Amino acid sequence: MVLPPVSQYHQAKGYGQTPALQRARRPFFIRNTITGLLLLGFTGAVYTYSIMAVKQDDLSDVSMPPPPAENK
Amino acid sequence: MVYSLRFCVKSSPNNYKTDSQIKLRNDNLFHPLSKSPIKSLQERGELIRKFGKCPVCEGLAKENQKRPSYECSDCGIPTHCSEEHYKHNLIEHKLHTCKMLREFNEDMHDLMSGRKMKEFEFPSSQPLDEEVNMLNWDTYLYTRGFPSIDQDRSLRHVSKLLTYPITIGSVLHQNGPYTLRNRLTNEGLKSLTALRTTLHPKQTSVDIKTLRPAETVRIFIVGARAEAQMPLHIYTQLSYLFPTITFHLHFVGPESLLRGTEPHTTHFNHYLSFTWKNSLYHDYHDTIHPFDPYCDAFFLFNPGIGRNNGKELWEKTIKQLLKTKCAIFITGFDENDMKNEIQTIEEDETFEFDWILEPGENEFKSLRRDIDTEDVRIGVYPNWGIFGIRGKRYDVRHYDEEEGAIEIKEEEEWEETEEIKRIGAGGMTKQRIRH
Repeated sequence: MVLPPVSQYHQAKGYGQTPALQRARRPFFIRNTITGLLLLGFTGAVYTYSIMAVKQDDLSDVSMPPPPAENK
Repeated sequence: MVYSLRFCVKSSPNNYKTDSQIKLRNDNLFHPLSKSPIKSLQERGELIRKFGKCPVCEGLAKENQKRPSYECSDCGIPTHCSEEHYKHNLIEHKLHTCKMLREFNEDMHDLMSGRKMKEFEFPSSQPLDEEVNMLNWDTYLYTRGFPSIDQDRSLRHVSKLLTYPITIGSVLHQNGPYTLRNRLTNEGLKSLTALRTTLHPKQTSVDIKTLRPAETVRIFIVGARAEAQMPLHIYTQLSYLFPTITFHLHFVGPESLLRGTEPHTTHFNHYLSFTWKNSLYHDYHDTIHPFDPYCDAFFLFNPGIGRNNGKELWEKTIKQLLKTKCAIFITGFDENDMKNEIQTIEEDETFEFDWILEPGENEFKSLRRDIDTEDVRIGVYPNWGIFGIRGKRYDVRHYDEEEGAIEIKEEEEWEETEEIKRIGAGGMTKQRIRH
């Protein structure tokens, strides 16, 4: 298996960001953060709404079979 | 799994050089110029002693003026003629110049330290679908795949080297920092669109029958100085930005060649050619005629039009440049320098031009200062600011007036001859409809 080389912008350890990458990302940081928060808010809202609308189902509308006859 | 494997990859040893080759360690970069372990920097100090001036002596009578010989212990540059004068001028020196000179001192020692300059390992071409973001130095370096430049000092070295080719590239490139919302004027968009149709061809066909011969984009660097002496490979960074285009760079100006070198042309590689010409531009102009605003652009790097006798030197040249109707971009060392240039150009009523790029800071300026040997208090950033102009085009004219009619006739004739030359010379198939 051939792996792509680790980008130099993630330092020798292979994770984290070098100062150069942080500088390059700076012009986009605020707008990206806002977009991220908006997306998170939207998915969160959809999730909460659907839970609220459905509520906890007690399954009372499901017809149950008669309880088994007791064995004697 | 993948990640754990990646972590095991050991970074290759960076220091090929043995200890004996490294003269200065990272924490040992400051040396007064007279005691510098680097010989060329000692010589630089000598030059300052020989040609520099002492800021306190400046106010004295001519016969009392002395050259600087006292080195400030904090910046290591000869700044004053004696310790007495140094102490007299201490506050001003500390406030305005000392920090800048100290930075200069350390930067120069770092450059000569003999360490492996990892930041100068420039990348080569990149896949066509990987776009370059030319917003500023950082995004450019990142998207072009330069090594991660973490130290400010390294960034200063790299920007000093690349400011000339990348300033050209950033103005012309479609992802450049200047847009209609940011300093570019409507006329400027017209000029740049013309150039960009050539520079960013739509690759619709690879069929040999419909394939057009690639056009050469000519860039004229008028009044070239340092940029003409740079190692040629740094200009490949310009051609990597426009991977399918062949460039021909002309360095024109009396200082474009070292003394004793003849004007010549070099074909560096398939995409890059260079011509050096050490005559004044207005003597060279006719030999490179005709011009085409789709393929030609002019760059004047720190020309000093606004300085003492700059106007007389440049007047003829600028008139000819404006006549070509090609885009002209001019840079300046700082705000004042640029203001003077603009004032000089605007004052002259015989210069008829449109703004194409409003004056302002250049995103791709050099971040390292050049220190003036004759007065070390002056430290300037090459290509600090940039603006662009182009000769005015008149689209509508009156035919009733005799003068106007004559003028139009002349222009039409000129364009006809240009067209004939173009077809005759290159056998170009491309026909352009103007107006």
